[in-house]
Amino acid sequence: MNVNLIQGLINGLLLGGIYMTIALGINLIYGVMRIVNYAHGEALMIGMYVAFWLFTLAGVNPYLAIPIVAAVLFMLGIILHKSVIEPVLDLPLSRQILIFIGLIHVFQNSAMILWSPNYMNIDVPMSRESIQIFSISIPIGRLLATIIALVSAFLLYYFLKNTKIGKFIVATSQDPEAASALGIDVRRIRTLTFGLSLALTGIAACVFLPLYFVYPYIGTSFNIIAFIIITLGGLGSYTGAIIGSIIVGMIESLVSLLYDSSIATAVAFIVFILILLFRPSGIMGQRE
Amino acid sequence: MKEMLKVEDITKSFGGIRALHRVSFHVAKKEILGLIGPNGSGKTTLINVISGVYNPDEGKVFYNGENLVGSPPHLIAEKGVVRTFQLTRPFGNLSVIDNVIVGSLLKSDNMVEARERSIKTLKMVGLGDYLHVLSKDLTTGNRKKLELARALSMEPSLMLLDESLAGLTSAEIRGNLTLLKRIRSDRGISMIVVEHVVKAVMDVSDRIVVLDAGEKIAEGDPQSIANNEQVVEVYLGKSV
Amino acid sequence: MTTLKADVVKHLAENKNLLYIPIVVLFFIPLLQLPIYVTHVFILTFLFAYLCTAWSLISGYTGQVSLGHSCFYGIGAYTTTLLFHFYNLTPWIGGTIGIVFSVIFAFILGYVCFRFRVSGPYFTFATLAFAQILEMLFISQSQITGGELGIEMPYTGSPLDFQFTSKIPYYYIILMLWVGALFLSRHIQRSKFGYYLFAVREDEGAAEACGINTTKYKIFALILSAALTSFGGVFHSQYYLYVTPKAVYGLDLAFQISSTSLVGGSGIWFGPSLGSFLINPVVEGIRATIGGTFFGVPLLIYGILMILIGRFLPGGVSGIIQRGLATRDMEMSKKVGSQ
Repeated sequence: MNVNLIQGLINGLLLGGIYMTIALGINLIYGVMRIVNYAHGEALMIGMYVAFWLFTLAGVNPYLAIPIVAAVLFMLGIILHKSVIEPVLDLPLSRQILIFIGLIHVFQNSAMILWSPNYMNIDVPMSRESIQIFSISIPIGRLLATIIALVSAFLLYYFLKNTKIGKFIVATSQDPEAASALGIDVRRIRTLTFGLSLALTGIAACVFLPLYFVYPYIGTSFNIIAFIIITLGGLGSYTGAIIGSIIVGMIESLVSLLYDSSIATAVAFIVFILILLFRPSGIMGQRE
Repeated sequence: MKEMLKVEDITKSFGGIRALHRVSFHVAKKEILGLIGPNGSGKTTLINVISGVYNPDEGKVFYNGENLVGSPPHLIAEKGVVRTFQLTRPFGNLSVIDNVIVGSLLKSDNMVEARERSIKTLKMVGLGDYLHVLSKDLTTGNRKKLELARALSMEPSLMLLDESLAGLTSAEIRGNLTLLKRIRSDRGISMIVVEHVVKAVMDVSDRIVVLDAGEKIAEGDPQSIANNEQVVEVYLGKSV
Repeated sequence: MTTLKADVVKHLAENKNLLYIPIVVLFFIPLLQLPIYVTHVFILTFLFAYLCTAWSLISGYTGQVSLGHSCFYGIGAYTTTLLFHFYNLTPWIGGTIGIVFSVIFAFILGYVCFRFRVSGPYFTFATLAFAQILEMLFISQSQITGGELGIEMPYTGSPLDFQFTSKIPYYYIILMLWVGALFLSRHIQRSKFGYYLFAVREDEGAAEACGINTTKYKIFALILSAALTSFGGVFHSQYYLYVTPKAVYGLDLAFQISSTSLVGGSGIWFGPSLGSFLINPVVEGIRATIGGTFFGVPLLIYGILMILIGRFLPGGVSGIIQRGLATRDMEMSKKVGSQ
């Protein structure tokens, strides 16, 4: 039982690591622009398809494809932001929602038309194997995903704290007016942040591909999990996204272990409800 | 009860930063109290405490003998203490008259009455020609007037005016000051006027309270405040 | 601009008669003995106009956007169906119970989400999450609910069981529901309740400063919206005699309600209905001609349309009408416009 518990915890950590990148992406956007990217899961889906075709048509290993996919999604982010996001930032939420629903439909149905609604996956032999440490089995695919996620999270953190642009991003998210008064080109920062967030998602897409099937609607499930994580950890909070991801990952994994996987997500949802009840701004969020 | 408002030892900190420290003063019925001080001295924080947006760490706010601390903003407004915002906050997608109707509805029983009262109030502040303009399309000067009209329509006994003159031309300022004096004499409303434009405050206030770094450093009639060395130094010493 | 002209424009715009005529016409449509499918399209259009109007009360007027409004729809549909299926309880009562459940659920959801000021996005997440939870829950408890394949309503064809043998009674019921909701929405927009909701939407802090208990009004708007929506779910179960989790809780439905309302314009009482009348006949027409589902190219185009409308048309399609009126006469109050 003890070993199983540890296995469950490890699995949870690995799962959390995977979710982390998506949650970080959404929080990054929210921090800077006070807007939730409801179509974030769809960006992940597109990234996964790009990685899929790179592998299927050109034989590029998804882990090696990371720079390519990240770059593609970065550019997609820039284009999206400039064309449909930036212009509506001042509008009330309901107007913005229409654009996000529209984006979701456009992405999902483009994918469906281009690549069929079938579930597809790739076979990267290495990722199917596991390492054995004592009696704990760690699937390599998940391990790699988590490591890369953690590295990306760390790089992001470093970037935000120590580079000029990173600090501009932080300044803008704390107080856009003050940042602008200090001479920061807030608009460019926002565009950059959106692109960066999608690039992060691109990284996630590459490491997810060996683990999941890709199909046009996979974005939705990730969206929901991301929202639960963000509610748990606090909207806009970097550390909140990390802590939230790990907690949700743990819960899913432990419940799967102790009961069965179908109620695992249900339990995560229940946690979500409890958080809303007792601390709606999340663990790291600010009140009021 | 001569004192309409009695603020007692209000203390408020944010994180480690002390915004207000043991601030006490009072406002009498039909009195216009000026509240001045350099940037960051805590004026708006004080308004936020009185109007219920913040709970003070310590201290009490007595309004007609009742302690307002702990009451939510909407209840305090209902009791007759109404505030305006430094950076105007109109209901942007509503027209000017609709904005004031929202205020009027606090004390009016029906829409017809609310509408009529709103039109009257808007004419009084000089926005009679702008009734159906979308409030987000207004100039700053007119926005300030709208803030004032909306506050007036709530039939307050005490108005907390946060920098209602900032960004106005000198002609507009003169107009508004006359308006404030009229409001006081016609409707008997007391006011706390927070202002940066010191000369304007001197002109309109019966008494003045001066804040610096969260503390009250002076209180008295305009003349004595103008001659108060500490006050002068505080204003000259700051870079703004 | 003479006063007479201004009066005429104002009269035309505010005159209820202009609205009454099309509605009266709609009451006579069944006399035309149209093909069953056409009647079905009308019913669907009315149903969505009804649901969208209800949705807009909380999401358009009050600005608290729900992306999982299907929660309430599904609660209404399943409560009715299960109570009839297992206990033979007439849907007239079962449906009422369903509405009560929805109201309770809405109250809890509203209370939990709205009592702190940081409510906007969390409320949207919460509604999304709950629609998903309920869908998953009802799929998993398949002994009771029939799981993914859903559950059938036993057929009796009796009005006592809220069932009819022809589509016509359903037509009239949903038509009246929609018209009722429409006028309710209009009444609210012009009332103190409506003004307060708009204030909450525009600026909660300023609304509080105007003496408005924002939490109370948000919760009330949500409850009202939920009650109406859940009765739509009751109608669904009686009309289709078959409910599945995906059909009544699914995000497809939730998104459809939201997007249809927004395309029409959710800030004005007739906007959502306008959206439904523009979109549903087209969607059903495409479904009928192309055959199969709306997914793929049609939905892609619709998605692009949504983006364009969201980006360029303030207040949806109804915004055009409003602005058209306003520019002709500055005397016209630009009523609570761009939403």
